[in-house]
Amino acid sequence: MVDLFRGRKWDLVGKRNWWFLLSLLIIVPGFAALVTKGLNYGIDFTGGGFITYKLEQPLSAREAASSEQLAEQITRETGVEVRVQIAGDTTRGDRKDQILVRTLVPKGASAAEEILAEQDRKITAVLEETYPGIREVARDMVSPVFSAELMANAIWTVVVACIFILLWIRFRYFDFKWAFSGVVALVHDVLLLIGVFAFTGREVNSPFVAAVLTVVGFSVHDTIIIFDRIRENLRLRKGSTFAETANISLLETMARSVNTVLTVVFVLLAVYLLGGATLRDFTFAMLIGVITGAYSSIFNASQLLVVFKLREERALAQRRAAQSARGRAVARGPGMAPSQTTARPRAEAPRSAAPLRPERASAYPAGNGEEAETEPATESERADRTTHKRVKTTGKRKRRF
Amino acid sequence: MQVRLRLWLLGVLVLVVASLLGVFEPIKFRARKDPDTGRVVAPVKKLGPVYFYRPALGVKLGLDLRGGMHLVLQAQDEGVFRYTASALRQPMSEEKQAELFSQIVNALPMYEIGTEKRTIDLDIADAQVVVHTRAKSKADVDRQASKILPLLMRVLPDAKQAEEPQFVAVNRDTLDQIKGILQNRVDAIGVAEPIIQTLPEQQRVIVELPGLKDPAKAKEMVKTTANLEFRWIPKKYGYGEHGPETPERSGRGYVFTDETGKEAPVEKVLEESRVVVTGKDLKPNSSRVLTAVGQQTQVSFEMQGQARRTLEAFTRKHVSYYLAIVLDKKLVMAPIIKDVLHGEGVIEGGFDDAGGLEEAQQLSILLNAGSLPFDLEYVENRTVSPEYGEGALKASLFAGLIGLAVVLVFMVLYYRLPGLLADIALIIYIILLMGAIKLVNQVLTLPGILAVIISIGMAVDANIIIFERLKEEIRSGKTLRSAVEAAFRRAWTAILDSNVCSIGTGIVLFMFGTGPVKGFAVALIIGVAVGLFTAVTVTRLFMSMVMDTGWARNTALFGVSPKEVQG
Repeated sequence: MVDLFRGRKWDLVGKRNWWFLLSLLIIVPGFAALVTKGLNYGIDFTGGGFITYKLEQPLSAREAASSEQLAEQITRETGVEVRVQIAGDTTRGDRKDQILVRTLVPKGASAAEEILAEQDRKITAVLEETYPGIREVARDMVSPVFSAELMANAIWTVVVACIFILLWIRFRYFDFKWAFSGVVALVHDVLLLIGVFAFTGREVNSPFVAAVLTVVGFSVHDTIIIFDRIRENLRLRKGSTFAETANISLLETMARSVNTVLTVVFVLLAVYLLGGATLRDFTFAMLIGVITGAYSSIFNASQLLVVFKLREERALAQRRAAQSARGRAVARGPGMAPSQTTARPRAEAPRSAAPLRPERASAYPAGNGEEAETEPATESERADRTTHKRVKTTGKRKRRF
Repeated sequence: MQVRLRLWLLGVLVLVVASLLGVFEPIKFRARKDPDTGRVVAPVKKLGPVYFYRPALGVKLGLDLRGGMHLVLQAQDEGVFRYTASALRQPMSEEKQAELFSQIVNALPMYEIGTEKRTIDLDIADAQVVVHTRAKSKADVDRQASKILPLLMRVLPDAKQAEEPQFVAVNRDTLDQIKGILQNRVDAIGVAEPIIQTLPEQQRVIVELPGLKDPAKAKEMVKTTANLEFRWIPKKYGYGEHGPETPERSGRGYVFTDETGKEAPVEKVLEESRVVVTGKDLKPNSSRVLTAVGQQTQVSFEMQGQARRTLEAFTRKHVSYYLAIVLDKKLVMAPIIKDVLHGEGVIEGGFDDAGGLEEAQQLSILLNAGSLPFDLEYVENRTVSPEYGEGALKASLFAGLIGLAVVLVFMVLYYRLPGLLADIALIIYIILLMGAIKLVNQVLTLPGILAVIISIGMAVDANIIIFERLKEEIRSGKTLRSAVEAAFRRAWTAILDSNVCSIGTGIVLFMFGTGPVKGFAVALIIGVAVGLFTAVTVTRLFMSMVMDTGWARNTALFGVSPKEVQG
């Protein structure tokens, strides 16, 4: 096999606004669907019952396509509002031999279990008449009281995970710009995933939250691999601008990004196609999320970091110009001298977005590492760095970040 | 170097063998039990203390894979109100009682009291009406009390409070009582490995019943009000030729013998027994386990109200009879009446063998609880039939195997020799992962299997990072040995950082998730952690071993054509 990405000279960073636009183009329709259609919440979040029936004989194609008629029939005969889904065992051809019925409980109803058990009996009676030999094989019941709690937990889970990641990246990298860029990419993935689910009307349940979190973990995984490479290249290529360094780093990690996504997509596709009905929505969420997670790491997190850094470089250049101008003024009037020493830290303060670790802000006055690094930097020197001693010192240095 | 490599290889091999032994359990020092029936499985061969079995998956499967029922019951804080009236003190026929009862029930509708739920009991022995309501605080209870009394006076004009209204909050102790009662009932259903767990903060009890045949019946049994009774057993039972001693306790519980000395089934004995007092007559939370050095362990109990005299009168006439403690028609214990009990007493003997103290505590909990003290409501019920679970297990394993096969092939095609080594490492990873799951005794659920499958994809990632790095290093003209060294060292920070984030999100998921999501989170955390180990250690070990062979000079085996190599 060949290396598809080796030696390519794509300018990914230069097109960053296009990538942002592409993300928006996917997120906005999803968001519109979220506002207009809302999410199709499963029983975990609304309360209600979910009953799985198994038929003796698989349904004909026509019957399998008429789940809505079946839902109407059940509602007509039992007075219970239901949603019906036809599923089947995919390991033996495409046998449609499962009927999934979802019922709702009025909000705030006490003794929800009794109501649901009654609904269950009625629905089973109707289905037994229509399909002799049908059996109830699984049944989930969640009370509305409990579901509100599950929902709150779900939201907390995502928020706490994002905060954790924000702090971890901040801890391991130079400043909050890195952490913030990484988390924006995560939020992008979560929004996109929610949008896709709103758009397709797939069910949002507790497992969906697990999928979102796994995707968050996976996406941040991708982001960190790229950030790690940018961090390393910042040391190696001192002459380059941040944008160039980022671009090179993206290209260098591209093969890894694509291959990792591929392996995960392989296993997920296998589960999606062969793993049975229970896991399908979950795997779908994972599939979408893993792909967007990789996309957002390359095309959102890193690009956003470049945007921040460009602004920083510009601000730094301006300040330098201003300072050298002021420095000349000071030189002329000796009475002004003390103000120069005090002016410096004051100008420094708002730039270093690291109030938690002031010692770092002082270690890297420029706030972005590359200025302070004293390692050999040019491309030709890279080979020298591979001697053991050299690498060992860099290893120690790395640990300090 | 060679010695170190061999040691590492030995270490990995030992781990793999230990995992295989742990997961498939071909050799055991105790007899294997069937998880569904609890019966002992006959070994293929037995040598001294060692049992040999045919390999079978020893990892515990969740309810969604083996079938069963997962229930979450919610207990709620209550207000308890007791009223007395002259009408209640008069002797009444059963019909009259029933009529009065329905009048009282109709007089106290929930919306008038301002509660979501209320139950009413007529306590004829104490001449009291007892009302239980759902309440959030003491203030709530007082507010409800001010409403109940006027309503009740419409039916019973001279009704007055018999006791201060009580606010009963569900706490750790009450949940333990509920747990004790549920345990007893579940044992009666005959479930092999039930799990009953209390969540004190949420005032909940989780009940897991694997492999159920009749879920509807089980559900009813779990929830219905407990019925604790003290019954006396006719004298003809238990004496026989054994003499007046405690009926022999065996693995099957009590064995009674009738007057001819023949064994009499417990059910028949209980059928002929009569109620003396019930759980409602027990003074709440009065039972204690009494232990003292040199003395028998005792469990105390105390009656309340009328029942004190009832017990005293009964025991006066029936010394040396069995007094059976029966919960939900199931015999808990049958102590002998040794003396007249003036409204209170102790149960002793039979708690002094191994496990006896635990038994005493269990009994004490039951006596304290009396009848199920709280109104329980199902907030979650997930039931899966064994057949459906098995289908899900097969489908997910099949899907996992196909996914694994694709990944294995991809790695060899793309990364050549290192890919092949990574494949071997991946298979070792799966074995170690199963071993780790077994080691922490994690129950494998369907989401858990999914997490394992996903983690296969993620475990490969660390290898991909390293191999991509390796290609770069080889291209820059290094010898293979230093290229491998550099690739592993440089890739390490990226791998560590990214995996810490994955584990971190997994922990968050575990903290906030419930039920199936927790299972997923645990499997994912274990998966990432083990993956970190195998990808770095095992793959590196294999690479180091290859380095000493002739393959090391052929860069094409590593996916880099000789033309690309600099210098």
